[in-house]
Amino acid sequence: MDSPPQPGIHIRDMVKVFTDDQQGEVRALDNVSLHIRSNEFFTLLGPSGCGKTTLLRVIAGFEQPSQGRVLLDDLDVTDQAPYRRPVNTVFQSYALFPHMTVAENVRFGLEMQKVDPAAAERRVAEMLELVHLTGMERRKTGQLSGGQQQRVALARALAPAPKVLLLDEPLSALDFKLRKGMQIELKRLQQETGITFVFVTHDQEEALTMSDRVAVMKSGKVLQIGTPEEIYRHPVERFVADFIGETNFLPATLSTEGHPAVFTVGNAGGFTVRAEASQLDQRQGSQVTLAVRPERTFLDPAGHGEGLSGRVETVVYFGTDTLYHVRVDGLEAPLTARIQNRDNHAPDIDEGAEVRITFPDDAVQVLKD
Amino acid sequence: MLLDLPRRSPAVARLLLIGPGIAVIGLFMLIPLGLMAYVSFLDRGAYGGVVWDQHTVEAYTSFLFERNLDDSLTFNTDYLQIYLRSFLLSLSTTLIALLVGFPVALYMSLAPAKWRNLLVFLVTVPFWTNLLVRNYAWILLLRTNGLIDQWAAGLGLIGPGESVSILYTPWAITIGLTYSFMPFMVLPIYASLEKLDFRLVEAAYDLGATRLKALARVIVPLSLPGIAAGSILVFIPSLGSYVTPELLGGSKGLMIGNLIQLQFAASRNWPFGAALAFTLLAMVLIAMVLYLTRFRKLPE
Ligand SMILES: Nc1ncnc2c1ncn2[C@@H]1O[C@H](COP(=O)(O)OP(=O)(O)OP(=O)(O)O)[C@@H](O)[C@H]1O
Ligand SMILES: [Mg+2]
Repeated sequence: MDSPPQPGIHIRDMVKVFTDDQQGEVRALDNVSLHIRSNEFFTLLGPSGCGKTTLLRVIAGFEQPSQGRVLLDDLDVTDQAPYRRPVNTVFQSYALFPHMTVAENVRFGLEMQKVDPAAAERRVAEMLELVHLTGMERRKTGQLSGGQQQRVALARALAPAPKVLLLDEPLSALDFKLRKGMQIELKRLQQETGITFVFVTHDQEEALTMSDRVAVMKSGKVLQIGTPEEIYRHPVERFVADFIGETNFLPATLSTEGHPAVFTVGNAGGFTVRAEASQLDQRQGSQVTLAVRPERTFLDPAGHGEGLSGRVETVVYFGTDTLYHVRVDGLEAPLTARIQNRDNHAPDIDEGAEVRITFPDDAVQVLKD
Repeated sequence: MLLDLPRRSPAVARLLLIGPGIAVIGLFMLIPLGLMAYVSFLDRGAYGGVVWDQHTVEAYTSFLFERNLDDSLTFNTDYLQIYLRSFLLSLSTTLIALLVGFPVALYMSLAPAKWRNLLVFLVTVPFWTNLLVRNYAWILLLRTNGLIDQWAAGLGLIGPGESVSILYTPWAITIGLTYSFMPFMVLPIYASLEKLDFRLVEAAYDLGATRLKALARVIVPLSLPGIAAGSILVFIPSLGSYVTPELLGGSKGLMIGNLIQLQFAASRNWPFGAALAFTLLAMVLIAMVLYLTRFRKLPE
């Protein structure tokens, strides 16, 4: 079943197996299929070793897939050499040419395309302005700071006007502040140039703040693709919920089938919530896991009304919010509630207090394990 | 008290540490060199050797001029020609060694890590046999009716009884020298290629460079220090080579090394031999200075 022709990158049934002396066979990509739209900021997110770099290298042409195809605007480029693909890469290590100046680095791709020298000169100036490096033309790349090198790498990759820019954890070497600044700049560049960005990171916050869509990967597989909000609010698997943001996991029993179904949480109290579980084939009485974000987990003084009873173990003040870790009988891990501070004051709940935990129905996500 | 001195004075300690090295260099290098420099400014003895109290620059004069019977000087290019030929032969040796050695070094640096040490070892294998033996082997290969002639005849490239006639030509010298000094070219280039970050080559491909362009714009520039070191290590010993031109070059294949040897042996003109050697040394030093000022600023 082929999708109708759509511009962008199509990855079809991609498998990449590495044979390693020590570990034997490693399936770095395990049947990955995805579609990255044109002009989209698409992020590959996942823990170390899940195959993000391998997928980028297959798109760039550095790695020949064991199986599967890569399509670029409906042109099959699987067997095309890297230098023929309209795809450029910002390498994790930057890979700037140490024997060339900043300007020579940026001009390299233009020279390879045999762009007329005067036009190339203008383009280099334009690119350096775009990344705020005007005046650095004649510096050797070894004399630049990490952030400057990163921007040269960006300018170099953007100069030949590729259709697709691949970025392999380009911000991981930068300190926190520079990183925040570069995140905004990258997003701006993507919007200004209209180039498709495929961005790799293992930082979930970075992925959520920058991307149009995110693919969450684990062990060579894509678990979920969606907008940051979809992924954050409706994770389909426990791994996704756990990897992206903090999550409370609660065992529950399906008590009444339907749309929405009714679940009984925990063993004590008979606290029930309603949630949609249509993606799961569940019967009455079956065990499921519910995921609830800490900011949608509410605490009330113990006593009246329904809810899970627990005892506050620790209170962590965060300025804008306060985090409460609450021990609930029968649950392995304490639950976390994140409550916004009003007028910069933490709510009047102290360590050791007995509380009642509730959450609204629409805060609940039913997971397949 | 006296034994305490190195500990209390770093200067003394330093002197004690580098002293032996300096003594060895002084004894076995500077003194003989100085002696030969002195000899080059002396008058020749009638039956070899020198007259120790007759100082003259005659040896250097006769490098460029011929002294006529009436004591006037005529410009003489005989020796300059031998120097020029030696330079050209060494240069072509270096170029051929580079053209052959660079791909070999590149291949070695791209081989799987576990094979590389074996490959380095294989490159050095020719050194295990004596230089003379290796040159005689080339005589067997190159001589009339030698192996190469037989192969060429077998392939029909030459008629029966004909010869490709390489032995005792400058070509034979170039072949012999290239073969002898090839490891000196391969190993330094390999050393700098092995350090090269091949992600830079990927970056070049990524930006649209073909293999050839990536080679010319990234690999070669970044291995220049190795190329330069290898070229020096081949060029300089070629310039002073003696055995190979002696055996493979025939009567017309005189190189600087043979000329110098001739002065100390058959011609019994020690001062002239010494002067020839120092003229060569001066030329090499000038070349080295030029090289250092050119390549010193290259990246690691
Ligand atoms: N050239 C190779 N030879 C053998 N195994 C490899 C090779 N490249 C990658 N792998 C393996 O494939 C898997 C995926 O690697 P990959 O580099 O794509 O991970 P990643 O998601 O980019 O991780 P990280 O976040 O640490 O960069 C890993 O198990 C890795 O060990
Ligand atoms: Mg990676």
